[in-house]
Amino acid sequence: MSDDLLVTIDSEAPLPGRPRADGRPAAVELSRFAAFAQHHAQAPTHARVIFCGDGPALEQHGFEFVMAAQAGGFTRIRLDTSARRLTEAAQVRAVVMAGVNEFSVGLHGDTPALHDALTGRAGDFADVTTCLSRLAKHDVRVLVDVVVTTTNLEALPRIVALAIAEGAQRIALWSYLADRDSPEARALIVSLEALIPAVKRAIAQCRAAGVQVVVRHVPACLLAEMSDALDNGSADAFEGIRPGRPLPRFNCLHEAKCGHAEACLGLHHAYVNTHGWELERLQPSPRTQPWRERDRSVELGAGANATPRGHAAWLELLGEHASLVAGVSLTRTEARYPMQMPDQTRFVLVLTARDDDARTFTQSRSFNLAYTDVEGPAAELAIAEFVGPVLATIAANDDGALSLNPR
Amino acid sequence: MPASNRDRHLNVGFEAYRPVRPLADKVRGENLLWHSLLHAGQLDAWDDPLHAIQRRLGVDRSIWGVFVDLQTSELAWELRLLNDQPGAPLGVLDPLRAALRPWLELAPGLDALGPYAVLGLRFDPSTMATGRIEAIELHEREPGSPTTSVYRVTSTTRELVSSELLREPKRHINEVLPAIKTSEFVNFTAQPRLLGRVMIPELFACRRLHVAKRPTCDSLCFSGVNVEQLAFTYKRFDYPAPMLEFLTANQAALEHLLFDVAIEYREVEGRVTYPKTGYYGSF
Repeated sequence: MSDDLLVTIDSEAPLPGRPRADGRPAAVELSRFAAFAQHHAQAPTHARVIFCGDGPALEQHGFEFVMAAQAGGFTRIRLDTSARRLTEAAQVRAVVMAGVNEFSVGLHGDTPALHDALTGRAGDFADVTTCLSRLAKHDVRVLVDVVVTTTNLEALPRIVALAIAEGAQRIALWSYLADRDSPEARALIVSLEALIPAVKRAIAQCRAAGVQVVVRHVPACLLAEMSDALDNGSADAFEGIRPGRPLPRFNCLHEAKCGHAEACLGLHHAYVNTHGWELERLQPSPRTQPWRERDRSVELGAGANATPRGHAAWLELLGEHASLVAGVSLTRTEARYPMQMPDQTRFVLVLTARDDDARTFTQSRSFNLAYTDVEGPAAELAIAEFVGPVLATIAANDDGALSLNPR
Repeated sequence: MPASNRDRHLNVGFEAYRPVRPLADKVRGENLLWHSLLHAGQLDAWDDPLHAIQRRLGVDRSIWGVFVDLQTSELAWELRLLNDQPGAPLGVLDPLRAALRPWLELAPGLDALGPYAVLGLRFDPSTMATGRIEAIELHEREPGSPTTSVYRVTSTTRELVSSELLREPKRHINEVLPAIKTSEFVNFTAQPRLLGRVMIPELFACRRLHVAKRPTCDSLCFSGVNVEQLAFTYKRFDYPAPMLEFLTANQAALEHLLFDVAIEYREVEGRVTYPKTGYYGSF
């Protein structure tokens, strides 16, 4: 479970880590978020809410979403939108006055030609620099996202310097992830051989300037002494609604042998298809714990607080059926309930963050529900009949107060 | 053909697995076999013989595979049958011959076999017209060993056509990688990047990996991939459009199943080419 809650007002904004808006239609209803926020005020689960949008819904309801978040007790309210919406002083002042105290801005070049080519929008660089200068006049936190590609790799020190000069308080360096595996996209993917030294220099540059820096989607083993900068976590998505294409998949051939396996995503599939598995370059560290197979599409937060919390609430989700489970095991991405049937068949009921693209048995408001690890004589239909009422109860009790890190 | 509670689910190595979704509103995987035959104009020819095998040996006792020649887009098929009669002189070949006798002669003249674990036979659109399948393939493995030797056998010949290592891809990576990289057909030392072209990342997340060495190419079989990965395979290797349409239309109804995707590969002028790819299911 993340401290951050992502609320998709509309799907038209470029996402952090993606230079261009390439979203699928997705939106959260204002009334549903407002209702959730009311509940959140009584029992806070997230410190930060991140609003994402750049279309008519943001124009019409953006301020109402922010007001609901303020009433809901969120201490940090972030806006992810296009810089072009924040170029007028009055606009910026109004948004800040409404309660937004964090802004994330994508900066991918140090010149208009370089930045605009990556975002695909002429004039975007001018809007970004204007936006940053407007934000610098307010007591807000400015986060700059830099997507590192083959075209801006050489300019990375200058881009970072520009972001620092424009007042960035945190810079996120993203290894480029292709939304689609096309020749054009592959051409933008930087080899680790070139990426890692450049990223390490950029980390040092930020730290020398006293600016927080995080690195996204880079193998942990290659960052070595700088691996504390790695952050592969992601915000919980309100009602599982997340703009953009499905999150990319990662793998590493060293996974079962590497001590970083639980915190490191490995390599993006498009990277492998472009540059190979990098067997000789990756530097797995010896494992001290037994390795267990897991879904590599799940993102984990490196160094994040993975301590389970709220066990009672997770058992209450099962209502009268809580007595059927042997307990609940919580991770950031899963709630697992071991169950046993009268014929001694055992299985594990698994809740993951709701994802409409994922294949699952059934869904509740916040979760995908399924069962796995079946051991025993019961046939599938018998298990389905046994577990059906439990799932129905979870669906009825899931009011959105509990959430898990999505994929 | 709907799925039922009586279905047994087998991978290409005849290991049973639990379906990964409840069976409600699902269909049997063999629908893909029948559709591939229909697409190739072979359903009329093979419908009765294949059902005869099912009747004789039992439902969900056999493995089917369909392969696409990536040069010609022509289809070919493979059947694998577990030798559950190891004490009989010919093992499962006897009942298989009996099942196919109205249509085909199988390995004519072959009257003695040593011990084997699995019997395979291959056919293509030209097979039925010949009225016979000359060769069978015998999968022989030492008890407790992860390796299998496959021999193509006729009444007069016996040749080794494949040596296979079966391991879990992640857990046994230290055995899997040397086996893949020891290749007569791809120079991974000169081009390490090519490993990503054979150890396909989208298929790497599988349950078992079969690493096979053959006379004319190497092969990997990613065993235990889901229907989403199977659909990726169709698109990745440009399977005939009607086959992709059929899979797409029925993808949700096949989500409970795991499949086994096989690729043959070799290097040509610095690039990995794939003469043939395909996949297996049980029937």
